[in-house]
Amino acid sequence: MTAATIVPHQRRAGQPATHALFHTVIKDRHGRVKHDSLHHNLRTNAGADWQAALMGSAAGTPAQYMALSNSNTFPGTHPAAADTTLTGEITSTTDTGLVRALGVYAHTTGTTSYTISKTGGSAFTAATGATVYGEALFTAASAGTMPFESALTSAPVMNAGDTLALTVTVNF
Amino acid sequence: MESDVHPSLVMRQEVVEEESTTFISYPDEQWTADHQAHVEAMTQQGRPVRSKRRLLAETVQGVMEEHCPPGAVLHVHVVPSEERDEGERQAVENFLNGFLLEDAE
Repeated sequence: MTAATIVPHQRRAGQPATHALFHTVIKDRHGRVKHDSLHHNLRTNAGADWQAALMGSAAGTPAQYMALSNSNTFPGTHPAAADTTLTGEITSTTDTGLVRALGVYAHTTGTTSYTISKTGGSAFTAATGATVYGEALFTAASAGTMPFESALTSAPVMNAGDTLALTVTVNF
Repeated sequence: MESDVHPSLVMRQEVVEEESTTFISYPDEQWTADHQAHVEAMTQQGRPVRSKRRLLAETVQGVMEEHCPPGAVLHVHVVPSEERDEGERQAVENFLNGFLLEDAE
């Protein structure tokens, strides 16, 4: 198995206290890794409001849905703090295997992070193929609030049968 | 505490110097939806379909690899639920622990 090189993360000056890392691994249909990257996210303005509601109000809704974009406006125009939708979000029209889906939540007691992931057996599987430029978390299966958004710097091309494992680590 | 977070799985993670617990929330309906998506994808491509339980094990393993520190020794505890009886709960738990143990060796 090819292991990703993950650099220990430290919060940088000016970075929000709550921030996330997007880890993306794409394998071909034979299981060979063809893309492995780790990107910092952008927490949107709506994400700050989402966080407040989640911590201080019963109205808060977790952001467990993971979405992909095939718009080449990433990383030039997006992500942007004012974004409320994922531009070019992949829908069933583009690829039925890469549409927004619920991720798995995990948290270890005593730590200051949690992960949302679609990996291993539940990874995205391309039906026809697409180029993935951006990724995001949402609070709902459609529409919803988008608190975190990220761009892939080397937009990987996915062919039919390729899998995309995405893990978002949220630090707080 | 377990019922508060409503997980389907709880991974008890033992590290050499400390012990902690990782909660994984993977409700039955999500597991079922993921398996349906897998079946559709594999059928469309004419590739073999993995069992629902096998897919669960691979998902847990994937989460473990991303979430837990290297070297962690894991014991999976499947939380009781209304959807499965004790026999089924125990069977899934044994299968997952066997899968992870086999992979670690």
